Formats: sequence, C-alpha cells, structure tokens
Amino acid sequence: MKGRRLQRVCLALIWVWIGTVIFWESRPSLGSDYLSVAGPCGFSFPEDHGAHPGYQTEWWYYTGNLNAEGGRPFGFQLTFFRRQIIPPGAEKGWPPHPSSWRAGNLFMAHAALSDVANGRFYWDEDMAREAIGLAGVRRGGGAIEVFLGRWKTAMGPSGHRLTAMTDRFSLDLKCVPRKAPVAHGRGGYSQKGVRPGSASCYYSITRLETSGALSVDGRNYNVQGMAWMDHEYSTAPLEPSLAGWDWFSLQFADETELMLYILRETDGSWSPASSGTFVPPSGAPQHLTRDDIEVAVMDRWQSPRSGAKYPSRWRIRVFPLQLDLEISPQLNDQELRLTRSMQVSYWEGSVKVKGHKARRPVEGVGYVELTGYAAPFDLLGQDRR
Amino acid sequence: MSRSDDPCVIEAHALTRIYPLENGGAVGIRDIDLYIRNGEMAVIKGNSGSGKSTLLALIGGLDRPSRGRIVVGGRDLTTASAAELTAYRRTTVGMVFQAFNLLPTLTALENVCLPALLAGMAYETTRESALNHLRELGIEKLADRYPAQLSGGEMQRSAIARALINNPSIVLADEPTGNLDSRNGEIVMRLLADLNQRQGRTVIVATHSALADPYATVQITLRDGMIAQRTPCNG
Amino acid sequence: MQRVTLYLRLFVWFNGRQLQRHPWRLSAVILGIALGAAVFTSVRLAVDASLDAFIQSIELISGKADWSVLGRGARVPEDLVARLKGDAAVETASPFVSTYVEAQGNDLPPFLLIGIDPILDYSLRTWELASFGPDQTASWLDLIRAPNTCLLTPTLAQALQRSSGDIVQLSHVRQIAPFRILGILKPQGLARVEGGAMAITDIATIQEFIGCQGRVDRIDLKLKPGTTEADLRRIEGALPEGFDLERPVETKETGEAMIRGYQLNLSVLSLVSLFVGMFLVYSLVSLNAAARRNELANLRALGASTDLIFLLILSEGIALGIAGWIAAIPIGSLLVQYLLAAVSGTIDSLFVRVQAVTLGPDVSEILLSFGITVGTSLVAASKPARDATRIAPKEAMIIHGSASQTPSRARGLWAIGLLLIALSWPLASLPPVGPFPLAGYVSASLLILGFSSLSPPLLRIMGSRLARPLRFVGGEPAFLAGRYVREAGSRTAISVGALITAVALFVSLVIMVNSFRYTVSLWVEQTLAGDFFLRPSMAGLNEYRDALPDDVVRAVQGMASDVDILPYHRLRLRHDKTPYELEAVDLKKLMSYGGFILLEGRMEAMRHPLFRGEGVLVSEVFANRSGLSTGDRYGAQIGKAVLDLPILGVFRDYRTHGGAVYMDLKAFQTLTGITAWGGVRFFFKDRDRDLEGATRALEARIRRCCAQSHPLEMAAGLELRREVLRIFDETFAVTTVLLLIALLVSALGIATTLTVLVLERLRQLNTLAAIGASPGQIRSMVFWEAVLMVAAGELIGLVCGFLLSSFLIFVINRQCFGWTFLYRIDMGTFAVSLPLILAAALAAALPAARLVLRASPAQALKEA
Repeated sequence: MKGRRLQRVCLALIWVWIGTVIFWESRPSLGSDYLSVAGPCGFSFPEDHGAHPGYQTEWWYYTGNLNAEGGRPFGFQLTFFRRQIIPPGAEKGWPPHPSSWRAGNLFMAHAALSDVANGRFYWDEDMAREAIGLAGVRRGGGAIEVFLGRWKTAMGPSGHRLTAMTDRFSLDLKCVPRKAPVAHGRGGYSQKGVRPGSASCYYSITRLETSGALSVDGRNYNVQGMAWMDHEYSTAPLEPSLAGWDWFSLQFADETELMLYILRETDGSWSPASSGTFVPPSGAPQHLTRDDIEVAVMDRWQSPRSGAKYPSRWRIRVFPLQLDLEISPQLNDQELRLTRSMQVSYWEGSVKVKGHKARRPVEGVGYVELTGYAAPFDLLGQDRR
Repeated sequence: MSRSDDPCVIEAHALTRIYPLENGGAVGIRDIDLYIRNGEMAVIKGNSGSGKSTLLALIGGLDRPSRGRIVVGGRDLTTASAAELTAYRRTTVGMVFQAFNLLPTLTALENVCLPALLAGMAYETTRESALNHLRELGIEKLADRYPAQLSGGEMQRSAIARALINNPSIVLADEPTGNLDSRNGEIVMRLLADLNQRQGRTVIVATHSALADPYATVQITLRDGMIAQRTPCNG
Repeated sequence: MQRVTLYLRLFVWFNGRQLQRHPWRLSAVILGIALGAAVFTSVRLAVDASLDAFIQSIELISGKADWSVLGRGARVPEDLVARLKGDAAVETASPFVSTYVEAQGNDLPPFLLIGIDPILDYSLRTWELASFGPDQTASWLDLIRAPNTCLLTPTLAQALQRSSGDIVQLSHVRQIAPFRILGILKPQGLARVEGGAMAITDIATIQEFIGCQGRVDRIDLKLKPGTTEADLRRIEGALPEGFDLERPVETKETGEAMIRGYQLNLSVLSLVSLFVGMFLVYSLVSLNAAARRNELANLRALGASTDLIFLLILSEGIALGIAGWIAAIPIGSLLVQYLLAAVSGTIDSLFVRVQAVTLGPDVSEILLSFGITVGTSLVAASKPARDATRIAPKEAMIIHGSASQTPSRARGLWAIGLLLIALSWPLASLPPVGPFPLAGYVSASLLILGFSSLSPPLLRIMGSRLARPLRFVGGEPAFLAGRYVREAGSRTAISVGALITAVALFVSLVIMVNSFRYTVSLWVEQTLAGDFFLRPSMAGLNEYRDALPDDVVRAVQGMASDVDILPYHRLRLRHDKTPYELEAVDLKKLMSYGGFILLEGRMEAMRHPLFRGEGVLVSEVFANRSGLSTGDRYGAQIGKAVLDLPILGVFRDYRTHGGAVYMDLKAFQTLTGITAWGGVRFFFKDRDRDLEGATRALEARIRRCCAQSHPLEMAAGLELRREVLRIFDETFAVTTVLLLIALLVSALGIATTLTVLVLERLRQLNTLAAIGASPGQIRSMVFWEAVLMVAAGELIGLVCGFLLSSFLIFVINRQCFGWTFLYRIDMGTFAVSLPLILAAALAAALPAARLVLRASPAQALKEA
C-alpha cells in the first residue's frame, strides 16, 4: 500500500513539475531585460490588438488590394512599428519629474500606394518618439488607436479605420474583419529561427472588407476591396545566418487565405523554421511546415535604386492542399527604400494569384514582402546617424 | 661760307615784353627790332635790368612777347602753341645759363643726355653721343659725377655739352661766365666761339663782361629795354 | 613705349633720387600713410570677422528653419509641437531649448548647451558624430534613451580634456549634474556655433536639467514647399495668445544691421587717419615741388612738356601711397590682432553675442584699402602737380622783377566759412540712415571745413592787429612774422587746417569721454545702487530666463534683519523690433537708496503713481528707439498677461543690449502672476557701519546656505560698479586709439607743412640774411610765424572742438546708441593738454627753422 501512495505522490510531483515547466516556459520571462517569446501567446481580443510593452519590437501591418470606379486597381500598405528603446523597469532610473519628452518607445510608420493603372509606386515614412502626443497607442472612442502624427489605425468593434496622409497620396479606409484573428504557429508562437528564443507572437486578420477613399497626386478615388492585417511582436533580432525573408499573404476568391513565410539563409537555402498557415472559409486554420511548401522563383527584377535583384514571379506549391499557384506582381517596382526611420530597402507589393487547387482553378489577390535583398535585413539593429 | 649772303635766322619786329611791378612801374624790353644772320656770333650787352635775359628768353622760346613779333629759322614764335614752343626748345636751340642749371640728382652724363631723351631718342645712342661731347670738352672722366662734385668750370662745360646734344643750329648763353673765375670764364668763352667758328652755329651771348668781345661778329647794346646801339663788327 | 621708358627713367632720376636723399621726411610720410591705411583696413577686417562669426552662429543655429514660434517674455508650451506638426503645411516642428552652462572644476567660460529632439530636428540642423562611444555603438538613439547624456564638439572636448565615455559635471543655477559624453561631433554644421564651444543633448534631458518641463524656448518650423499666405495665417491663428511666428532671418538681419552700423562708424573714424595722411602726401609733394622749382623750370626749358611734369609730380604722390600701403601690411597685421579682440568684445558687450572670432583673408577689403590709400595720395598730389605745370620755363633764367606768385587771396573765405558752420547744425538733426548717422558725419565735416576756412582771414587780422604788440614782445622778427602771416593768405589754410582738425578732434574727444564717464559714474551710483547683488549663475548670458530657486529665496527672506532686501524680476522683451529689459522692483525702496537721473518728468509728480504700479519709467534709449515718451502708453504682452500703463518719465540709462523699463514689483506680480525672483539687491540699513566687512559676511552666509547646490552669481556693489565702468572704458578704447592715431598723423602733417612754407621762401629768407639779419633773428622770425599759425589753429580748433563735441554727444551718440550724456568739461585736462599741443606743434616747427640756414646766404642765393 505504501508503495502505491509513493508512486502516486511521485507522479503527482512529476505532473506538477511538468506543469510548472510548461507554465514557466510559456510565461514571458521577466527581469531587467526585454521579454522574449517562449511559448503560445495566449491571445485575447480586443486587448491584444494593443501594444505589448516589454517586447522590443512590434508592428501592425495592413496591406490590401482595392478597386476604384471602373475597376481601376490599387494596392496599399500601412505599417506602424513600435521599437522599445529602454528595457522594462528602466523607467525607475529616470530623474524625478521626468520631462514629457522622456520616452521608452520609438514609433515608425511606412505607407505605400501602388497605382497599377499608371504603373506608379509611392511610399513615405515617418518616425517619432512616444511622447507628448507625437506617437503611441491609446484608447479613444471605444477603439485602440495606434498613431504617429496624422497616420493612425483605430481598431474598434465596428472595424479598423486607417488614415494616412503623405505629400503625394493619402488613405482613409474602413476595414471590417470578415473572420476572427488567426494565430499562426502554435497559438501565435511563431518560430523565426532555429534557436529556441528566435520567435515572435504573430496573428493575422486574413480578410477585411475594405471601403473608403484614397487620393494620389491630387486625384481622389472611392475604393473598395480586401485588406489583410498582421500584428506581430518579439524581442529576437534576426538570426545572423538569415539574410531576410519572403512573406506571402494570398486571399482567394473561394474565401480561403494562405500565409507563407520563407526565411532565407545567407547561403541561399531555407531555414527549417519557415512555415505558413492556411485559413479555410470557416473552422480552424491549418499550420504548414517547411516541407509542405515549395516556392520557385520564375523571374527577377533588379531595382535601379538599390541594385537588389528581387524575385518577381513565383510558382508556389503547397502539397497538403494540392495547391499549385502562379503569383505575379501587379507592378515590378514596388520597392521601399527607406533612409530615415530605418536604413533598409524592401519590396512590398500587390500581386495576382492564379492556379489550381486539386485541379480546380483558383484565383485571388495578395501581397508579397521581400526583405534582405539589398543588404542583410537589420530591422532591430542599431541605427547610425 | 660767306656770311653776308646768309638770310636772317632770327628776326624780331617791335618786340615788347613788359612785367608790371606792384608799385606801378614796369620792367622788360620795348619795341626791339632785331636781325641776326645765320652763323653770327652776336653779343648782347647791357647792365642789370637792361633786358638782356628777357630778350634771350624770347629768342629761346622760354617766354612770349607782350607785343610784336619774333621769327626764328622761319618759325613765328609769337603764334606758336605751347607744345610747339616745347618742341622748338628741344630741337632748335641749346641754352647755357649763368647758374649752370644742372639737375642735382642727375649725373653729368645724364644731364647731357636729358634734352635728347626728352626729344624721344633712345638712351643707348644718346649716351654714346653724350660721351663724345664730353670727350671733346675734356671732361669725359667726370661723366658719372653729380653736379655737387664738380667745379664751376666743369659744370658749365657739362652744360655746354648738354646744349649741344640735339645738334641745335642756335646756341644761346645767358651770362655764361657770370659764376666763373677769369680762367674758366675764358675757357668757356673760347668754347662758345669755337661752336660758332668751327661748327658754324649761330651763337648769341648775353653778358656784361668783356670776355666775349674778341669773338663777336655783331654787338647789340641794350639800355632800359631798348636797343641803344647795334654795331656790326668787322668780318 | 619710348615715352613710358622716358617717364620711368626721369621718375627715377628726378623724383626717386630726391626722395632717397631725405630719408627722414620720406619715412615720416610713409609712416603716416601706413598708419592711416593700416587702421582703416584692420578696423574693417576686425568688424568683418565679428560679423561673419555672428552670422554664421545665427545661421547655424537656425538651420533651415523657415519660421519660429516664440513667446513674448515666456517660454513656449511644448504641446504646441504635436499640434503644429499636424498642420498640413508643416514639414517638421522642432522644439529648441538652449542654455549656458559651466563645467564644474574648470575655469572655462560658460558654453552653450542645446537640447533638441534629433528626430524632429533632422531636416533643420546638421550635425554628425565623428566618433562613437567606447563600445562603438552609441548614436543619437542613446542620446534619447539615456538621461543626462550629451555630445561634445572636439573643441570643447579638448578644452575639458574629456572624451567619449567620460563624465563631465555641468553646472546651472538649478543644479549641478553629471553628464556622460556619448560621442564627439564632427566640426561641421551646428558644431561650429559659438566658435565650437557647445554641446548637444536630448530635449528631455535639458528640460529636466534646467527645470523647464512642459516648455521650450521656441519651436522651429520647416514648411512644405508651396505653402501659401493663407497657410501661414492659419498656423499663426492657431497659436495661443502671446505667441507669434517670426522669421529667424529677422534676428540675423537686426544684429547684422547693428554690426554694420558700428563698422561704418569705425570706418569713418579711421578714414580720418587716412585723410590726415593725405595732408602728409600733399605737404611732401608740394615741398619737393616748391624746393625744386628751379629744376622744374629747367626741365621745361629743356623741352619737357607740361604733361610730363604733371605726371612726374603726381607719380611721386602715387609712389608714396603705394609705399605707404606696403608698409601698412606689417603694421596692420599687428593692429588687427588687437582690434579683433577689442572690436568683438565691444560688439559682444553692446550689441549681440559674438564669440571666437577668427580672421579670414578678405581680398575685397585689401583691394579696397589699396584703392583708397592710393586714391587719396593721388588726390593729395594733384594740386601740387597742377601747380607745377604752371611753372614757366623762363624761371630757369633769373629775370629780375618777374618774381612769380602773388599769394592768391581768396576773397570771401569769411562768408564761406560761416556758411558751412551755419549749415552744419540743421544738417545734424536729420535722421540717421539705418544706424549710420550719415548726416551727423557730414555736418561734422562741414564744421571742420568751415572753421578751417576761417583761418586765413583770422590770420590776416592777427597779422595786422597784432603786428605792433608783437614788435613789443618779440622784437623785429616777431613783427616781420606778423607781416608774413598777414600776406600768406590761403596758402597757410591747409597746414593750419590740419592743426584745426587735430585740435578739434582732440578737444571733442576729451569732452565726450569725460562727459560719458561722468554721466555713467552718476548712473552707476544711482541706478545700480546696492551693497550686494545676487542672481542665478550666468543670468545675463541666459537672458534672465531662470529664476532663483525657491530654497534660495526662502533662505534670503530669512535674512531680513539688518539688510533691506530688494528682489527684482527681469524680462528680455521686444518692442516692435527693438529689444529691451523690463525690470520689476520695489521702486519706493530703491529710491530711498539710489535713484534715477531723469531726462523728462519730475520725481515729485510721479512718485505716487509709480510706487503704486500705475505707471512705468522708461530709459532714454527705449524712448529714442520706440518713439514713445512721457504721456504715451507702454504696452507689453507677457505670456497671457497684458500690461498697459502710462509712461511717467524718461531716465538716463547705459545698460547694454537695448533699452529699459521699470515698474513696481508688486503690481507686476499681480498683473502677470509671475512671483519668481530674477535676482536680489541687498542694502545694509545702517549706513555707518563697516560696509565692506558686512558685505563679505553676507556673501559668506549666502555661500554657505545656498551656493552649494545652486551655482549663483554674487557681487559686491562696489565691484559691480567698477566692472561696469571698466566695460565702458574698453568700448571707448577702440575709438580713442583711432583718434590718437589721427592725432599722431596730424602732428606729422603739421611738421611737414610748416617746412613747406619755409622752403617756399628760402630765397627771401636767405636774402634777409644777406642784408644783415642774424641767423638767430631769422630763426626767431620763422618761430614767431609758427607761433601765430599754431595759436590761430589752436584757438579755432578749440571753438570747433566745443561745437563738435556737442555733435558727438547729442547727435551722433544718440543716433548710434540711443543715449546722450550730461555735458561736462574737465578744465584740468585742457589746462594741461592745450599748452602741450602748442609746444608740440612748435617743436614740429624746429626742423623748418633749421633748414633755413644750412648754407651761407650768398651761396644759397646763388643756388636759389
């Protein structure tokens, strides 16, 4: 009898130990350093639409394909970055009566517009510290707002309102989510490298019905279309062996979506952490691993500005889904060359998709992001002036 | 050459030059008629204030008459412009002064060259000629001395060389021996006579000394600004 | 070509060798010209250097900003930044805070600490890091993320002997705090401000350091291209009360105008030296021409044209000018170093902050000085050259009775002289051209010219009337001197004119400096009364933007037993474009210890309203610059508060950097809500005690209680007043030096012109000797002539000087600086100096007298 009780106690202890470990593992690690993502993220909305202080980098990413009257196509991108510049708890080291300018975060934003009909691509950037109303995340009118100057996204119960104004174009869009947010990886825990700490918390709203107005070079348009939202946060910089990534977000006519990211090693091969997510019309999303995906580059385009040779047509096969797709950009030149907010160049552009799914024809639109082709992508690296 | 056939080189009619004085009086020359032939050695005599220098100044183109006419070598000096008179002084006459009038900051040689340079000659050729003149007058060795380093006689001989550098047909001398002792005075007067007798130049000397008498071909005496006597000498 | 060689050869033979033979005369003239040219050029170069330093500083600080948002007498609230940045026409709105700080443990002068947001400021001002921190990764981002960090210029880093990673203790009245140096800047762009003595920090840090959280000095705006008037009005309209938009270039233009005005004033003063140098050229050239009259006649007789003669004499003048200009180069190089420091110091004291001025080669200035020097020499030599052409060739022969010049008797010089003098007064009251009192200087010149024209008639009168008394005093030579002077006429006008100018300048300068010092001393005793002064460290530099910390105020209030405490508050404001200081203080208490020197208004009539705060007192400078005076209303906006009070009176004030307005402290505090103290004056109640000892004790007390954590500026009243006087003496130093040089050149001029007059009459004088006058008698005659001329010159110069001093004090100073002084004559100085001038001028006549009898009369007569 004693032996059985001992056995049960040991088992219980083991379970406690395992539970503690799991609990411990999945808890974000605290201390005087930044938080790192070590397990499922435990998203809860709408709170998790807001900022996650403690994690060094965070971004809210909107891309979409729109049509004006007569079917004139546009592509847009609006991204907000939060970069924490002092570790959690460092505010205690601030002087008493700190200045309102003393900030823990820097905010950056990119906006881009592809005027496909005219073959023109516009982009702009901005940056500010999180102080005295220049930039930040706040609650207002029942919505969570991420803003920088006059650019903002207001995420509320009725939808996401995007506004951005640059010298040459402006956006004012209302995006209504048609599906619930999709957590990628394991509960949002998305591996971005081979090391355990190289991960982020990542979710997307894969289908947002969008309507609103945009203007470009003084001409106004009423537009409608479909947008995609990414929200990701982490502390891990890109592993040194990685040159950059190729990211695909595709929205099909049959109400399904596909997200893929290919992490490219410096030697040209893919990191095993590369993965993707397939979102059916309803029901749980399907996680895809590296081996489920094949991406072949069919064409290349060289940027006259940065000299980078970006892939400009792909053939993608997703084996478990029997997907065979051809993806082609609506414009060759959709490269953002940034000098102020960060010293990087990347390609982010509207694409068209067509192909077959289990021999049934499919088609759709999407956005592709290509980083690290001009120089190894160093988003979290130090900026030099 | 026969002098009596030569035309008059210097002609003056009713030549008058008056300088009014502050006390109401006047000095100068009045109504002078003058004929001097080419190749003559004329001696103008008179006391101080008789007008000798005034007359010489008019002949030399250094001054203009108040009234009357004076023609030298066919040129009417009365109507000549200032520039023409300047050119006349350079080329037609050579002047020798009582006070020597050498420029103290020029060497003897440079003083001699001066009229030629003013007339536009090149320095190198002039220098040669000047040295020759100095040699002829026996003072070649003094060429590079400044007037302050020369004696009275040496200065006057340099002045004569200067007067000759442009080969003038007329030489005017105003009391040339006034500042010299008798020995140097004789030397200078003989040199002037030489210019007349051997080189055939017209020489006019204004003086009150008797040193010139033996060489004169004509003597003109002035008193109170007018010609008192005109004596052609023998010859 | 032939003619050119002839001319050159003759120049060497005739002029060159002559100049060589009288090296002393030649040196005197060349020295005089060299001084004039050196002074003129150095002054201009020195001021140009200051101007460049100032403009560069302003341009570097304002960068590419189009407009700035400024508060009147208050800092700008920082929340305007986000609002302005949100305007569609604004490309960037960048906050700017700056303050002067000191590095503790160092004797270095205060340097500028600038606080900006590197992100917002990016497109406005340029600066770049030369080297990063020890770990090679620091950047502007570290400036933002870490409090109390800064970037230093290489100059400052070297002066402080620190480098990246080191700590430097920065001291400001609010606190002394350690700053970590993150990196060293490249010496370009913003890093060149203040001669490279500056540091950059983040805007958050500077606000925390100096305690101005919530506010910034100004917000600089860069507007998008294509911004319209309507956009500007919208932006300005959105600003709250008390804040305006202003162009940075206005600050630059105002300061530039002030410096250029000062430069013009100094240039004119230095031109005096140059023009007096003209006298020198004139005298030497005419001396030479006069002495060699016979030689010139000879040249004419030998066939030289009048053109050639003219050219030869003129060339002598030009050659002197060129030689003088070349000699000016070493003199100028020395002078400019002194002037650079003195001039930039004056500009810094009186006008705008100018630091670390360096001299750059300026071809245009050098060409200008060459042109002016040679030009004036040319003008000076032109009269003798023209006169030389009138020498008749017949003068080569001695023709009795034809003696030449009858002295030109310019009739009506009386009338011309009096007319010029009469014209000068109304001309003087014309308004200035900008800050340059053109009319004032023209009328001063007319005055001097007018008085100079009076000298021949005066000499004529002196010669006739004084002839008999002269015979009584000095015998026959004196009598003859009187006769000569009577006949000499306008030939003496120029040399006597030189003396008149010199004496007039001297007299007017002495009176002006004396009046100024007297008035300033009075002001300092009355308006700057106080036994002890306390204010925040670098308060003046920081324009009184920082108040005394509260604990200091409390400690001082606790000392009220044996001292009368007079707190004050000062604000730097602007009325239209003119800057001034508003000082709020308990006027009743101030008047019991000191006072104001009133220009307008009577103290009895204004006491009550003034003490109750129902009116203000304004300074003379403020009244002149703003056009307001007694009876007008004074208005100012301070933050949200509006002041609107009548002007009760105008007082004399000599503080630098603009005008002043005084009002009662309580009324000020009530109207504006500003209760902070800008500083404190202490008066000991018992005036019979040992004030010096008590002051020292007070200083020790304050040092113990308050100065440990708060750098404070303390000064004993006596020291402060002495310092103020010293600054004024310094600013006058430059003017004094320039005028002394003018005097020196005049002295040289007088000596040479007297010599000319003697040599012109050498024959006459030698004739006198030949007929039996002894050398002593002849020298005595020349001497008496000099006495008469110098006496006439001094007398006229004295009268002219008195009138000129009124011009300087009441017109030129008023137009340049806005102030006037109480007229005061120091008899003592004149009693000593006027005889000295007489003696000096007569000593200058000695060489002339000696010249007369160098050779035996007969020889001289023969040679003459």
